[in-house]
Amino acid sequence: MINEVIKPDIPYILSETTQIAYSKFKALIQKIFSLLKRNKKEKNIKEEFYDSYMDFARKLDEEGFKNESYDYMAICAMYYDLMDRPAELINHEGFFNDLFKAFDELLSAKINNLKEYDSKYDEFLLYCGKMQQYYYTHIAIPSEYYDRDVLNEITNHLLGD
Amino acid sequence: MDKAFFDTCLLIAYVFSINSLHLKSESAFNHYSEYFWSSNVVEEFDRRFYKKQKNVRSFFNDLERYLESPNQEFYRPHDLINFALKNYTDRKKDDAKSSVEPFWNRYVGFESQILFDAMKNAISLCLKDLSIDSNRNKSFLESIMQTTPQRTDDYPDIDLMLKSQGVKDADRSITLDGHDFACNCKSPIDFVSFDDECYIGAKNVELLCFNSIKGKYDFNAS
Repeated sequence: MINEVIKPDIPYILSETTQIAYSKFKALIQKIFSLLKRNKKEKNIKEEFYDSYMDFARKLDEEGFKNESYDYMAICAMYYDLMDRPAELINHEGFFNDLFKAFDELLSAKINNLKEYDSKYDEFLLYCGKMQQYYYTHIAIPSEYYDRDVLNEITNHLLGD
Repeated sequence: MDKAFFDTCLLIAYVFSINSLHLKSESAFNHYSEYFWSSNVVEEFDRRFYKKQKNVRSFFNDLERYLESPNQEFYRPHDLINFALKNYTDRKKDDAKSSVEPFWNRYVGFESQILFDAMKNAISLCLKDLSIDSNRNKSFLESIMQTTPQRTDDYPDIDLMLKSQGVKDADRSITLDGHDFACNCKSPIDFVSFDDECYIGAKNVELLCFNSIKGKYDFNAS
């Protein structure tokens, strides 16, 4: 658990509880990288990360940032997946820092300049999409359940004709 | 060696396995030996790919955010179906409901109910595999497509004709990219569009340099 007092560190755009949840999450990311670099293990850190990112995702959704919540979850899902491979996670510290920074800027744009938000969002979607393509093509390892027919069936249902 | 210039709809159907259109897109790829796209198609394809990828993930993301809320220890398929029924309407409700069974059978198995942690894990793995699958398809597609040279002519007369046929801005640019490539290519080039408006509009403009213009009805879904 993080016991120090958490201060919001990005432009104030959300309710106080959501802002604090986001700051806690970001502090946790730093803590995980720090632990990994010192080769230290902490019990349940992966669960703590999951709970923290899901907490912020729920709060974002509840406050009307549904679309942004999906994008944030897509970034966190990659991080969560790579937590099982600590050496790879450290190697990709810059990769994740860039993604979280881009997400910060997107949130800031939403509150600061709504007129430019749509083009900023398209830019973010392309950037985040390219990063996901790199991750899922070169880094991620399929699960033991990977089956193209099943995945096609699920995709068919969720996208329709 | 048959060559064709493809539009975005066909490529999206190829990558995402969207029912009958996917089989038709496979049939189109089997019919030709060289495939072309322009930078306009690449840009539109990327944009639509990432939006669709997000749509596929959204049901499972919604589920993840909801899971702890009911605060229950065990989860059954019925709980996931109930979630779909309560949170979506119309078509999206049916689509979400239908995806529960293949997900449960593959990622959970024969268990009739599972603990929260196992449920959380099953969703994470499914989301990862879905992303790996679609991104691998995208990367493969990028490896077999050839990009045409950048068009420098605006072809205002043809553009006007396409506009009068109801072809939208983005589709007109793409059609003109293909036309420019076909005019400057020594071998015949077909234009294949799975967008009905674009296909019919292009069919009605005689000045286009294509060898042939084909739509989704020209390819079998089997």
